[in-house]
Amino acid sequence: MPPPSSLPRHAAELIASQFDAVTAAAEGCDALVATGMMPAAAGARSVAEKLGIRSVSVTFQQLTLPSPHHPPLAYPGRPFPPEVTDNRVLWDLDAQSINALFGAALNTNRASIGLPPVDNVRDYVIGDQPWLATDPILDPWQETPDLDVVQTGAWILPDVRPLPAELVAFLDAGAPPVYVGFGSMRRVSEDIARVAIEAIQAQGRRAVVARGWADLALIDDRDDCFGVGEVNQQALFGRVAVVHHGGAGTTTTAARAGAPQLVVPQLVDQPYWAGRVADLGIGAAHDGPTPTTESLSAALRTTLTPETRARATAVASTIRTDGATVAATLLLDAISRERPPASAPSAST
Amino acid sequence: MVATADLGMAATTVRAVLLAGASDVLAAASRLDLLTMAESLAVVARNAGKESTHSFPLSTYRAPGGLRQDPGRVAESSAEARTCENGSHEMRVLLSTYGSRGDVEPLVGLAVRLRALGAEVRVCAPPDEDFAELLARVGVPLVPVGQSARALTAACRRRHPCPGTRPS
Repeated sequence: MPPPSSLPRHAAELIASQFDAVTAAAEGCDALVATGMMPAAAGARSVAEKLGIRSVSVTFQQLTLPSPHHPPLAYPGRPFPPEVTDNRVLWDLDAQSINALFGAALNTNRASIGLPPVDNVRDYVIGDQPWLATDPILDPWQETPDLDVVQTGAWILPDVRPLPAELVAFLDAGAPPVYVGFGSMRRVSEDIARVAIEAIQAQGRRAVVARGWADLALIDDRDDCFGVGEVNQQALFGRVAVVHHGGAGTTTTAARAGAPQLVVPQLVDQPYWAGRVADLGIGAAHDGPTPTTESLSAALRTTLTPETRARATAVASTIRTDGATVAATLLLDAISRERPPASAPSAST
Repeated sequence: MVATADLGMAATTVRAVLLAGASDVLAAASRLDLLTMAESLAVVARNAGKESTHSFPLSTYRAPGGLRQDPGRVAESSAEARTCENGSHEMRVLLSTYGSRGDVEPLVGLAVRLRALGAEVRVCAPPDEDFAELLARVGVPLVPVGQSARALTAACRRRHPCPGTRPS
């Protein structure tokens, strides 16, 4: 099935808007770090190329980096032939899909600013030495001669905001509750808050329900549930078990906090993170995005065992916290090497 | 296969926009006209107005401090004089993304460390209030790109009720 016929045109428009915004913002910059959705990253890197600025691509999961050790994710409307099982062949097909979807869009925009076309959009976006900003314990990258990946560790933004006093009072009033939140997911199943709260209550636990972009809400006025909005997860996760969607950031924050976690993966890379959590023994993976009270209760029982808690505590101390510093130092060192050396006294005398 | 997908996914980078509903998302994302830009700037101004470090145009922005705050690590590196190696200017870095919280927050983490090492940093990201607040919290300027990522997912949701979202 071909992609929606409008997709290339819309991609071209999105790339054009990136060209405008990033060109203005990049004025005077020495380097650009690009991530996000592919048209945006392709646009940003093209601007850097045009301006002669060093740029590097980063991902916050490894599934979109070509490797013989894992297959690519199929694009909607572009399934891989079921008989093809060689990962390298699948990655070649992946490149073809990306070119079909975005090649014309990118190259039309590149031509408009005098840049030559690229013949492999994916490899252009990823570049020669992409960064993988994930934790090597949570997301181990197997080296491959095909791609020189620099794994920096996860980029963690330290959060020093205090928890709201009412939340602290709730936490202090009993045994550690179970947090449930789905981050930026919008399309969680309609009754997921009720299912989660009932499953948590069935384990004799209290619940902290994060509103998130799905607008999760409490289901009644019982005092064993507490609703929160934007909150310091780094502080909160040290005092709860965590039910979440399996975003890289939430998974990493929970792991670092030593919180047992139950991942209910919704899409894309989230099943991968769920599997990593289960493999590490620091929590459980729910099978599928739409839990029932029964299925969530079963996974929650595994999550709340003393063994899982102990394992989560042990793994927490192995999570690197310096990934952003590693990357910042790498980048600034690279800029320094490229700059003209400072005027030496001998040069002027 | 993936029938549909949220734009609002954490940490999915390349693939997010390509999952179903993508044409709608892209259509909305591409409406970056002057009005949108003006609104975006207004949102940023409202949310970050109390932050003295937020100023436009960016060419006038100077990072506060500019002193290295991690001498141990810097001492190990070859970038001895990060601020004015040849007397010209500080190192300036642009961090660019378009996506949801999981695509933005790690970049802000990098921005804070780059600034601590003496660089001047700005972040290109969607103009969502969440992201404006996130950047305002650490005093790093946000350059808004496109329209609200959350609004895009809301529009997408209206057009695709009751989607299945499970990847194959």
